[in-house]
Amino acid sequence: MNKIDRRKFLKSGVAGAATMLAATGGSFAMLPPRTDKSDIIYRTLGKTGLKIPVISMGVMRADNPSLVRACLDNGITHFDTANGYQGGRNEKMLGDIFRDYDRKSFILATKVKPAGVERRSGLPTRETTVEDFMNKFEESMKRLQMDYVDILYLHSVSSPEMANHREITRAMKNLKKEGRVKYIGISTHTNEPDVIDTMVDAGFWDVVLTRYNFTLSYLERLEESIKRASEAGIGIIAMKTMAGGYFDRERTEPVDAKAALRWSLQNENITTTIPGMTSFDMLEEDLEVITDIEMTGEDRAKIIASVEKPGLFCTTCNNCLDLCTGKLPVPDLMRAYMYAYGYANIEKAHSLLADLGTGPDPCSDCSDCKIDNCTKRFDIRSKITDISRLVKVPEEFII
Amino acid sequence: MLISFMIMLFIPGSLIIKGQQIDFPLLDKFEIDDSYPVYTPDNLWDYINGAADSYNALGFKELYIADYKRGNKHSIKLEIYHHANDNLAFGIYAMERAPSYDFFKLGVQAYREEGLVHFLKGEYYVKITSHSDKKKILAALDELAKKTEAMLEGSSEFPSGLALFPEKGRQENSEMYIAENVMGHEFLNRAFRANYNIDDNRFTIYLFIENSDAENKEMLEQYLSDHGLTPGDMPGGKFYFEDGYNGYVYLAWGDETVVLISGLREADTNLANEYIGKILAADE
Repeated sequence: MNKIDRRKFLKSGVAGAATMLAATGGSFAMLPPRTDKSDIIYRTLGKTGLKIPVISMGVMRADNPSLVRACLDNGITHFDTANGYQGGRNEKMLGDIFRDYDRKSFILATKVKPAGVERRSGLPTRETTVEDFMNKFEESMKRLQMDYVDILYLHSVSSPEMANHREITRAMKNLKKEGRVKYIGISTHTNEPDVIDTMVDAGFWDVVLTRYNFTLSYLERLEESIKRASEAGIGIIAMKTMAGGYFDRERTEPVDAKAALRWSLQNENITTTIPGMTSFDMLEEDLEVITDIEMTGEDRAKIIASVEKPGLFCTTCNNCLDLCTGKLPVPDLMRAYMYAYGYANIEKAHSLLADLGTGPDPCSDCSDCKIDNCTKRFDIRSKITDISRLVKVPEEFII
Repeated sequence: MLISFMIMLFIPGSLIIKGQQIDFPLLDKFEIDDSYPVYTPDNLWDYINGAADSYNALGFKELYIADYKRGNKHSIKLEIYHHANDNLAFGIYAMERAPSYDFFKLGVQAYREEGLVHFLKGEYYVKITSHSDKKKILAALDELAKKTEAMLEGSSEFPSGLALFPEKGRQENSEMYIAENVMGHEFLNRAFRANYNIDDNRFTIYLFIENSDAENKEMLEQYLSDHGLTPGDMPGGKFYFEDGYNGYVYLAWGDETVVLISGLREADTNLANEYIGKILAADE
């Protein structure tokens, strides 16, 4: 299939269909699929046995039913939504679309986020109840207009305690027994390795939806957990493979979608990815990957260049501590820098610097910086010198 | 750089630097925990995970958060999302509202669901939530909503572009603002949208009113050229064509407004003309 032809087709339909408003003729018809489905690469989702194309649709931001139908027609069969997306509109849109399709022709995954989970610790609170969870699940089923969902995730889990929440996990297992849910899983964006390890130890989870991309500082640790989960039969689905989509807050430096998707699919433990799609151009790019996951030299170059972009946030790998001749608490100083420039929270940066007691110019004793092993490739001396000037500002001027 | 700016400010009697840059309203018998960072586009993802993509696409600038605590049992969370302009704030507010909600007037508009009040005012989208079902706490939640609304500057009217949508057949509270990829096309951006239902004819109208003449021309040329057409001399034009997976669309434009209708068939040309005529006449 010629790439340009397919793109034009997806976006515009058949040539010559346009007419002036007053003209007559023509009929509305669903356009035929343009992807050769025999070329689509499938992988099996762990012990579920589900065979899924390596590209699925992250529906979260999509609000155009035509885009979902275009995905279906082009061989994408797995669709990922959640109870909370677009205040429920997302599930409603999918329910309205899928009621016209054979239930076995698609795989629908949704997620329910329990109430009251502490954002910082990820721990459940007294407000985290099975009643709330089930109410939301029933709400989702009503919107989706389905007898069952294929995968139900406990959404946004970041602590082993939440992954092991007794009442909610019991309710999920019951839903599976009742047939209202085919498989149960967890979605995790934070502290993923610990969450995945907990799932493996628990022994009853079917699927994990995890953040996975080339920018993660703890990639090696995450890949160990993924491998362990895969060996235990847990199906692995990757999300956030494009690391936010942009490298800058102004959204001028986009991540290369195809390179990023192909990079994640080099890990054979990953069954599928769920790139968010809001345009036919995005679908077109994703369809190029669904039949070809081989990384090109250009893809590799883009990934390498991307990894070298430092960003703003210290990963606290602590590699720097051994090399700093001044024995400075470098990760803490990077955190102060992040508070000031990332969070615009001068008070917190000032307070942290005061606690650290490193003074207004802690690098002045060194002629050059010996730290050359920062995983984020920060110019550490420059950042420390910059942020430490804040120490000179009296506290009463910062409220 | 921010710090350089601060150092310059370090002159006795000069401006006072604030951390959160916002004074949260007080609530009787509640203590305020405002130790959250101010979230920005860089790190909003840390707070709301993947939903951050939608917020950032709609001009998200900062998020201010406070927890109001009464003893150890009851709390109310206040989240103030600041977006780049009124239309974008409306966009994110509208994306998360459902037409079936219990709406009332607070700021531009508010709605109430179990344990929450969400409202829009100017560039601010505010969410106030509590897991408590105690009447006193829910009353405090309402009070906090009123106080927050009074504190925030900005318009209490819907974006003016919405007034161009004809009322007949319009589904109440179906209006949206879409910043990018309208109908899945990367060249169609910044549109208001409303759903209609006339005699079982369900259709959607998109209005592009924020673009310059040059932007409109470029947009129309790209859209029509994919179908072997050209917009001709601006302004003024009407087309009907099949737009791939989107089906048939009616496209028309006047001096400053571009109208796109999807969901109507060729037999509905009179209906499409009626709506296009009303919109373009209202824009003159």
